[in-house]
Amino acid sequence: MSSPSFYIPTTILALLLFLPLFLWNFGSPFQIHVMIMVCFYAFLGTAWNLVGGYVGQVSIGHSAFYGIGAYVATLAFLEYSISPWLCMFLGAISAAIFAVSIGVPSVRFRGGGAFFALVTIAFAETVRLVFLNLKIGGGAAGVWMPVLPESFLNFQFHSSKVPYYYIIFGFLLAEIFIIHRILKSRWGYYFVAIREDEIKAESVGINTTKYKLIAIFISAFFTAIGGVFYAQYVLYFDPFTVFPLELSVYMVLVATIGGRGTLLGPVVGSFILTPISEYTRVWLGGSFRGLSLTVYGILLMVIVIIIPAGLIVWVKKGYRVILDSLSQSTKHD
Amino acid sequence: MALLEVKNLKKSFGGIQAVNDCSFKIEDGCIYGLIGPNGSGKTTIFNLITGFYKEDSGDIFFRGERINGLKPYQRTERGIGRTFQLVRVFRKMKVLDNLLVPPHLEKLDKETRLQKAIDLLKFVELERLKDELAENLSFGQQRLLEFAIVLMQDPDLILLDEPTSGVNPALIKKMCDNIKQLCKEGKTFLIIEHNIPAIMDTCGTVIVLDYGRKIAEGSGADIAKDERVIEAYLGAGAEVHK
Ligand SMILES: Nc1ncnc2c1ncn2[C@@H]1O[C@H](COP(=O)(O)OP(=O)(O)O)[C@@H](O)[C@H]1O
Ligand SMILES: [Mg+2]
Repeated sequence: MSSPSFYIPTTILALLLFLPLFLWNFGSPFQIHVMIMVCFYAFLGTAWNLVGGYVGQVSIGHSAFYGIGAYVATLAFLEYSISPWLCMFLGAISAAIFAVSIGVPSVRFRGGGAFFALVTIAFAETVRLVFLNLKIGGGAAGVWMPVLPESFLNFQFHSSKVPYYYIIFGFLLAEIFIIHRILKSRWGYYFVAIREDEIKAESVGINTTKYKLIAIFISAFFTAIGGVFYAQYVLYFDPFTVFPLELSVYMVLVATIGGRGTLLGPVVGSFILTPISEYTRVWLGGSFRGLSLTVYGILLMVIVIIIPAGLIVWVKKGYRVILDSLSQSTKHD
Repeated sequence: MALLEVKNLKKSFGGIQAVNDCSFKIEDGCIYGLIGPNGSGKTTIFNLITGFYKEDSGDIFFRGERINGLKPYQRTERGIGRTFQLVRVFRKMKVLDNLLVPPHLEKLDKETRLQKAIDLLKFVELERLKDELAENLSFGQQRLLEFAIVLMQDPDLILLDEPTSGVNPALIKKMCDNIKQLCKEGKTFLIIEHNIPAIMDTCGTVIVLDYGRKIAEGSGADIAKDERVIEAYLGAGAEVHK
């Protein structure tokens, strides 16, 4: 109990649990918003990482699943007035099924390389244009969620943002736990084997198409939940805010900076990148959409060249050092 | 019924007829050698049998079932295993994890699976490297690892593409002994091997290819005397006995 390898993670977890309450009393709503965004992008990055990091299929079109989740859930709610939580599930399932149906033609290309990346961009752009031009849910005019009395059941909170934080924090923990379990199962072997050598994977008997689609299904499911969360959080969205290329790139970025194909890489990535991105957005007035994509692109290249394994490598090293020095000092006591 | 039967198989790449009207049978429980000069179509035949290439024409039967058109993983499920001429392993996975990949292992419980992997690693003398990433092994060690992976799949027919190149001589001897042992236990091997003496020692029947055609088939001794075979090798600038 008193070993550092127990109390350090516990302390971090406790901090993450209580910091928003502290900020609610002594900080600003914007600081709480930043923490929500940190967990939110960690959640999205983790979803992307399953397909992009573990199975090695670098998608740059995940915003499609995100947007479909947001639209299906919100339109289902407007149409049938059923629980927003049920709508969230509907949105997630719809996005996952959609992902598999576009995955069937896309995953045929072995290697998940540049071609797969381009195909996913094209699909996501197409989806955005479809929502825009067919005026699904109002087209460019966007969709408004009706304001409901605040409660957990209604998935709406107006007097404080803190409950949103606990929801997305809970989502993130649940997602990491589920993906961890999946990776520890036989599927984990198949996913990584496909990334390492698709031909060899097929040759040892893995149905590579099937397992790529399974990973895409799960990844899209979680990504769509992120989209629904966002819709509930801001209560208004349009095709430009839920289908941006920037979002797809940001998911890649968070996972890559933190460490692709590692469980906590996207979390590390989001903790570092999201506060920077949120504060600069405020300082620059949020009017530099094109600029941010350029900056993301440059950042991505720099990271891939300097630390291809991601910052998690340094975080782990630092953690080791702290752990060692702490257990050293406890021995001397 | 033959374990594997190849009938009038043809495959060309652009203008090159890599495999030209090849037919042969592989019987259960024997060791076969597939030899021929460089570029004579040996690896292409492996790729056709395992489904990585699609034949232009011809038929492939495994246990009497026509398997043309099946995906590679489906052929593996049916009991065909292979290694690659240019070694393929899961580079960023640990050595032990490499052995645990084949889906065939789902049938076994966790302990049995692990034990089997450890036993095989001991056999190829890689046990002390089990926690090393596969990419950190030498080329010869990766070959042995690949050999161990294919045995984990427990196939009935095992295709080995130049299994001894880059492996040290002591282990080659051991590998040959093991292949013979596995053969006694009912496994069948088709082995591409340039190292002629090694194959004469191990292989019951040798099939010789030249320019995609089968030019001879028989015991090692007969093949060594066959004029066309000698000519094919001398023509390609190689020696039969080296
Ligand atoms: N994927 C391919 N694309 C084009 N040509 C190929 C391909 N695979 C093999 N070949 C050609 O087919 C011929 C036979 O090659 P291969 O089967 O590898 O010979 P071997 O294994 O007997 O050395 C060679 O001329 C080779 O260049
Ligand atoms: Mg070859």
